[in-house]
Amino acid sequence: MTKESAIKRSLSAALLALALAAAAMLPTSCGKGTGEGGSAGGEASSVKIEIEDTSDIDALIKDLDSSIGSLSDEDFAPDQLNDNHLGW
Amino acid sequence: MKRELVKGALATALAVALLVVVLAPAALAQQEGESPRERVNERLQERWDEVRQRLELIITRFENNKERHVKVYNEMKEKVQQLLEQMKEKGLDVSKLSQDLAAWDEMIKRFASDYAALMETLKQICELEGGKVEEDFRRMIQGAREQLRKVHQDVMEIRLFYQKTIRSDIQELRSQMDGSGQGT
Repeated sequence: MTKESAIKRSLSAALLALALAAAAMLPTSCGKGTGEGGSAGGEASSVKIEIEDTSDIDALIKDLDSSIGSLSDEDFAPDQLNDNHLGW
Repeated sequence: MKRELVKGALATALAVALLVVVLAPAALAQQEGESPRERVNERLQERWDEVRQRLELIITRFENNKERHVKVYNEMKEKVQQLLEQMKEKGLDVSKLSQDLAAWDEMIKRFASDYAALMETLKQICELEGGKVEEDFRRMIQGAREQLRKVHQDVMEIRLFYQKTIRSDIQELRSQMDGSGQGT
């Protein structure tokens, strides 16, 4: 095998790998939910947890507390549509 | 005779001046091609454009908040689901947590559905045009406020359900795990 053909073969392999990667990404980018029409939407999370003993559950509770604590009910406070906010 | 001529000239000049004062504004408006009604409509349109811009900013903020909430809810749901599966494999009773998760999922779906309805109304309001804008806005914004109250309520229920129910059922599983000798 000449040096030239080896380079060509490497390039073809790289192109094939790129094409396969692009094809694999297509369904996720086209099927991404927006949460409209009653679906909660959002991307599937890849979070993995391992529960071996009670300390893992304690850590999980702490993590869940922190997650829910990062959200505020005021993000959807009803007064945001009041006349003084809208300037009407 | 001369005096009468002067008087006549003065009277004519006064009459002309009066005519100019009375007719000039109307003539100017006519020249600009605008009636008072049109000027009122123009001012209303400018005001409406400002309100619409503010509304568009509020919509953008809601969209960002909604994405953030849904992402966190989904991650939390997945973690609880994994906990449930692993506890089930260990032979623990996960029926309560399983029911919790189903109820929580329904709440999150209700939030997404109520939010979608709110967005639809707000986007319809943004598209309002024409002479009845103020009247239509007043009517539709009332509906949007009611929908926002529901979304706010949904978000509170989702949070409280985790804090009051899911959290304590996870702690109960922890006790089961401890009691079964699998806790260490």
